[in-house]
Amino acid sequence: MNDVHEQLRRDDPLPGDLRALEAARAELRRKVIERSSSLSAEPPARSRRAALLAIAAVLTATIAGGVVSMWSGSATVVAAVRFEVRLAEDAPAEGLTPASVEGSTRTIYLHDEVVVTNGHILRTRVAEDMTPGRCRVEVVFTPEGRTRMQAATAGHIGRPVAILIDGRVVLAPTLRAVIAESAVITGSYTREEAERLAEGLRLGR
Amino acid sequence: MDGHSSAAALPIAGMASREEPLGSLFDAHHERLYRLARRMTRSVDDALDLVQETFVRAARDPHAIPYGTAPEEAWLVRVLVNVQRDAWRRAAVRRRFAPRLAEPGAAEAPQEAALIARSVVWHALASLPPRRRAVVILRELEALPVPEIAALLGVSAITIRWHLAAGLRRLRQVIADQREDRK
Repeated sequence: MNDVHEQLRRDDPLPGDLRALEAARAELRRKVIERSSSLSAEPPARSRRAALLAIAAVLTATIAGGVVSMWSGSATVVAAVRFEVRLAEDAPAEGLTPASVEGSTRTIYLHDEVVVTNGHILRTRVAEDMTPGRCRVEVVFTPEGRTRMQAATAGHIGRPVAILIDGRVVLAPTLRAVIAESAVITGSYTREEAERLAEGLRLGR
Repeated sequence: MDGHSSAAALPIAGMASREEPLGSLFDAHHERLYRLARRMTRSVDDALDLVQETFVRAARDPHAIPYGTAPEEAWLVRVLVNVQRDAWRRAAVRRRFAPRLAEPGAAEAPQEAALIARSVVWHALASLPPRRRAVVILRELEALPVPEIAALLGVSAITIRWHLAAGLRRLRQVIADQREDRK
């Protein structure tokens, strides 16, 4: 056992080759970005599937607003989910709209201006939440979305920001730092619900 | 969508660059991937290619990447091992159909053969299936606890112990054979 460990350590190529990474780092990064950029010319299967789902949703649904999940036979068709982030206040004031926060008795007061919406979503991800078996959805913003979020939240620290899904306030956290890159929607979702939400957010772009 | 919403919106933490998500992913994880890739491959160039392919696969399927630094890292490590496994399988198929090309030392430059001769245990390590190789590297060289390796590779601790035992048994055998040869 020790012989194996000692021989592996003695002849480990890594320490000597860390410098090679230093030398190649910038080039490697450039190649990764370059190769990945060329991928966008060829939509991956997932994007094609999303496009088909979008078309299916449009064809199948003449439902006003197009904001519900639908089942047709055994296949699930996900329709667009309307996503908005708005600044909010804890106290009423002129020009603000009162709104209940889902799953609580709290009322907040929304500003009219929408900071970001589906069009500012670059991508979404579903990830396991802290609660076992539950999932959350991360929303990553486009460059324009990041700029808008940064500008809006920089002057709003200590006050609430509201995340609206289909016009309902699902989250209204108090801002502790400027938000720019992304937002996380943690709602004790099952994986299926989170996947549907994530797909719906993308379809709404 | 009846889940009860409860947590806060968060900015992505620990991202070295704001240039773009893939660039940020690269900045945050390329060193960790290179450390593993260099030990899993025979050369610096192979390691760099493996890291590059790992990130390109991530770019192909960005929605599959979980959120958070640790889950991202684990996901990328698994992709890296899978990329290596694909290459290993392709090489196995080539060996099966063109066995003469795979004769020991036949394709190696004299200098490389000499290097390998000095490091029989590393040669044996390279012959292990990629996941088993990764387990041995993570345990013996990175000194990660078994539960951490299990989380990183997305398999149970029992599976990790099984791979570790089998991998070390193989490497010990190689060392024992080497000693016999010297007698």
